[in-house]
Amino acid sequence: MFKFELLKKSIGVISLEKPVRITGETSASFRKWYESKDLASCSAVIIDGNNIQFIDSMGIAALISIYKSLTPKGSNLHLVNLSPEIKKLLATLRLDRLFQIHDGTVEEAVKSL
Amino acid sequence: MSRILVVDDDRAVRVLLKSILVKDSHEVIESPDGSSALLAAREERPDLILLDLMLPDYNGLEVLSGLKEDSDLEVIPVIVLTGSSDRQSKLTALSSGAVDFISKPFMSEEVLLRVNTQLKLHNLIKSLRVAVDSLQNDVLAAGRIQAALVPQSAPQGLKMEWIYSPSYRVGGDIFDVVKLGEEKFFVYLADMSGHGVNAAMLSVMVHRFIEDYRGRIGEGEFDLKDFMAELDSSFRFEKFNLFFTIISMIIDTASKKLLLCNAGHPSPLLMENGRFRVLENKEGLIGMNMIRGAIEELNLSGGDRLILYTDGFTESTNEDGEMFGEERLQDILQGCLDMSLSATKENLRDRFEKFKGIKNAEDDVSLLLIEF
Repeated sequence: MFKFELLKKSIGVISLEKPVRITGETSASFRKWYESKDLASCSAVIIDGNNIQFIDSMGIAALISIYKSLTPKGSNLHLVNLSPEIKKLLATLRLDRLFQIHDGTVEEAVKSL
Repeated sequence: MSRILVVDDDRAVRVLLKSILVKDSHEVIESPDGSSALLAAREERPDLILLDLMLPDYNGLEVLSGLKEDSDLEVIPVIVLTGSSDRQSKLTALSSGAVDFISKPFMSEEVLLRVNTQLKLHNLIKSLRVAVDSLQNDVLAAGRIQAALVPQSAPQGLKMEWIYSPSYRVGGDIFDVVKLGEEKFFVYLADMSGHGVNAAMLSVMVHRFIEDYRGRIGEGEFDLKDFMAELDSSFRFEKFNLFFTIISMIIDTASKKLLLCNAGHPSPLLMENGRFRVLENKEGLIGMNMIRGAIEELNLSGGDRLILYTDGFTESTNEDGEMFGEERLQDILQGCLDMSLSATKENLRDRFEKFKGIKNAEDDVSLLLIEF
């Protein structure tokens, strides 16, 4: 369900292989999955929101956990290809002030880092 | 050690099976025919039944049906004993509810293997059922806890109505009204992240924190900015890996002054002079050290209305996957301006229920209406 790629040696890119609603059980699986990936050692983590159909508060909590594991090292969490609804949700929660939300593609985000 | 009922009209077979099973520390009861088998099953409640398909009085399959039709006995796993060439009976038995078959002549190892496997499976299923029941009870308990935290009715002196439908499965919305003085009230609506028990626990802690905070300031001034800062530092995300959003307000019904801080909720709607205004000014969610004390100060007039809600309300979908949405909410409220507050609430609730139809809510649905 989830895919992890390491680009430019230290940029972790998380993507979904097919459309997923990150809610309930799936949030728990997502957490288990990324906890096995040592994201804290990445210089940046990019999440490709292309196949994220919906994300609930547990999913948001998972994103916050990823963010918190990166900030001690000065790294950040980047989000690309988010649907307008998810962008709006993150804005309501003011998480758009903490996470880096990019318009454009994953490649462009990687280039900007 | 389990209790096994052996049903076979051939005494030699019963003796053989008994010796195999007893050697493996099982307790064995015997029946020579169908009717005594059903009786023994009812009286002895075995953990497993070995059933021969060729019985003198009933056809073994009839006994099997009899067992499966009885609500007390149908959970007992049944292994049928069949003649080795009788393929049809095997299939029929399996499709009639038998869990396995053993062909005669049988080997003792095979009997033990199949019996023990089925017993293990059966115990697993029983444990699962107990766990699920207990979990469901926990979720219900969590829901009851949440329901106990919210007020039963608006306090004297404050015109307030609400729609509150927790879904118990998901999320945790809570709200409360705290009287600060004769004409002063502290009102909040909070939405916990997480589901069921997690959310319920967090809501209990937030409720308790607010009670403590209120107790500490006593007769003093309730400072909303200080309150929000303390809330943010007391419920850091790292503590439980959970966050919540909250709208907290101080309402002075005498001066009609409203102080409001929105941390992460959808924008509340203010009806002023017959027109709706969306209060955009916002803070972020609680627990990430983002709260800066952005308090909205408003001087309102009699008749003005304030509507707050959590996203479970506007994000509710109907069978077609359509969302209720903020626009629909505003339209309905606009049309209720000449109605009393309680009539407005009833109308809104009706429209909401009609919209949702038979679709189950996926999140808590909470909406507060306050009239000045």
